[in-house]
Amino acid sequence: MSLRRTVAVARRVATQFRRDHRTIALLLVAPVVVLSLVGALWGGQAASVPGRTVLDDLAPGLIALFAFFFIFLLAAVAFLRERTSGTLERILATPLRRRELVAGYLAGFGVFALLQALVILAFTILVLKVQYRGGLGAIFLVQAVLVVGAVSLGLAVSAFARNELQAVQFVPLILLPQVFLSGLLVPVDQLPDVLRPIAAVLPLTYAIEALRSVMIKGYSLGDPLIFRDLGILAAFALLAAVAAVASIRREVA
Amino acid sequence: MAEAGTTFAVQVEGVRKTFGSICALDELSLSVRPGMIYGLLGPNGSGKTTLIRTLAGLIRADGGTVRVLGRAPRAAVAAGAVGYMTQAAALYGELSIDENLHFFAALQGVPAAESTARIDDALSAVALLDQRRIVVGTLSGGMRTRVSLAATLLHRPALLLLDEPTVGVDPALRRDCWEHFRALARAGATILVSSHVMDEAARCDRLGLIRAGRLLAEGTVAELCARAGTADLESAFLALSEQA
Repeated sequence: MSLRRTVAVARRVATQFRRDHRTIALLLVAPVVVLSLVGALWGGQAASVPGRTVLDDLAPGLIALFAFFFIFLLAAVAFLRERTSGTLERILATPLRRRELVAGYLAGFGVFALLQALVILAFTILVLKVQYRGGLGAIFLVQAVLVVGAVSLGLAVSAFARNELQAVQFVPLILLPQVFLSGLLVPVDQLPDVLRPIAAVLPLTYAIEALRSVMIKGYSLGDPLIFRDLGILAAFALLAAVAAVASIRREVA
Repeated sequence: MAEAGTTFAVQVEGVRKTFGSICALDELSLSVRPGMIYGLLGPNGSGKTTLIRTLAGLIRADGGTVRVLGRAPRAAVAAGAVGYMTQAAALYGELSIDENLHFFAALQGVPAAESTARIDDALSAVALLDQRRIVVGTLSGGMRTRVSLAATLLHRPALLLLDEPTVGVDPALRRDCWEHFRALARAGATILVSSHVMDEAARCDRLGLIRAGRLLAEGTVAELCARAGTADLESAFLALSEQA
């Protein structure tokens, strides 16, 4: 692997992104707007546990969901543009290797994904005043591993779309099962037996479990459960990255 | 610039490629000697782009052999020995000319210390030296084509694959581009250029007439005209197409 080529891709991706002010604004503002609505809806509603609100219980899931969703969509559409504009064909006819391209995209997008994750976390804690027990560092680490997987998955999924319209339709396909089955609305252990295997392969299931454990139960990074969940999320990110590499064929249509 | 011991810069033998029911390359064979400007001439859909993409290591042929600078196409590309200019100017619209070229220079392995000088050279070749800071998205089609050509020249490849390189470029600059191609060929580079413009084809050392994925005829302009018994290349192309 050539570090120079990987860095060149990362810089280029980040520069393109930086120039697109509207997308940056959406990336940072959209989750804040949606979180504000959710905060207004559930922030004042008491939960079954005294002293807690419904928002306190939902926040770990929402943090994971929003961090995953926006950057996944953005990565999918951005990479699709590379495929359809002819630039992918051109850069594949250079010494650039496919894994360098994916690594470059991960690094270039990763910066913005982490920035967004940080904004989501800060807004949840500072503005919505969501209660949390565990360390903020642990929360951010779970988010970070999750968003790297989201970018990889976005790159891989873009291989199945021929245009932006199709790519956008992947959003409900990838996202809605995670909204309903990953423990955000219904705890995974209360799901019907037939749905549990599906929940077991969704990355958000592990992110939400880890974030709940840290934020509500006060687990630390050293806890075996957190360690396991982070491991699974990292494995998912790696698998998605490998799938993304495999999806870039030199025989581009 | 071709490797020692290589007789041909490009050697294609009995190459077949089908896309579904469409046969894009049909037992095509041709060879290009180092230092030559070889023109691929043929109508739209004749297989020119498929052949060029095969040579650029982007398409795997279904059958036959393809050697580029004595190696498999991808190996030659990975070694930075090939420059491929796509038919549409594939560039990053949000980036400036300079940023685009720095990016392609890094991918092609141009030493970082030399990048700026190489970019200057390439931009002078396409008469864009003073406009390097312009964002590519705001350029006209012809200017984009010139930037695209500059991006192909940065790493001084031994083999240039140019897919209709002067589409949308005005006549004066087209002439300059061809002078530059000639200078590169004199310096030892091999150039394979596709076109369906006859006056451009006439500037090539050798021409291959392609139709329906087959090589109809090959030779210099004079040879092709003599063979067809016509006075000009266009008539020769039509006559040879009808004979096939």
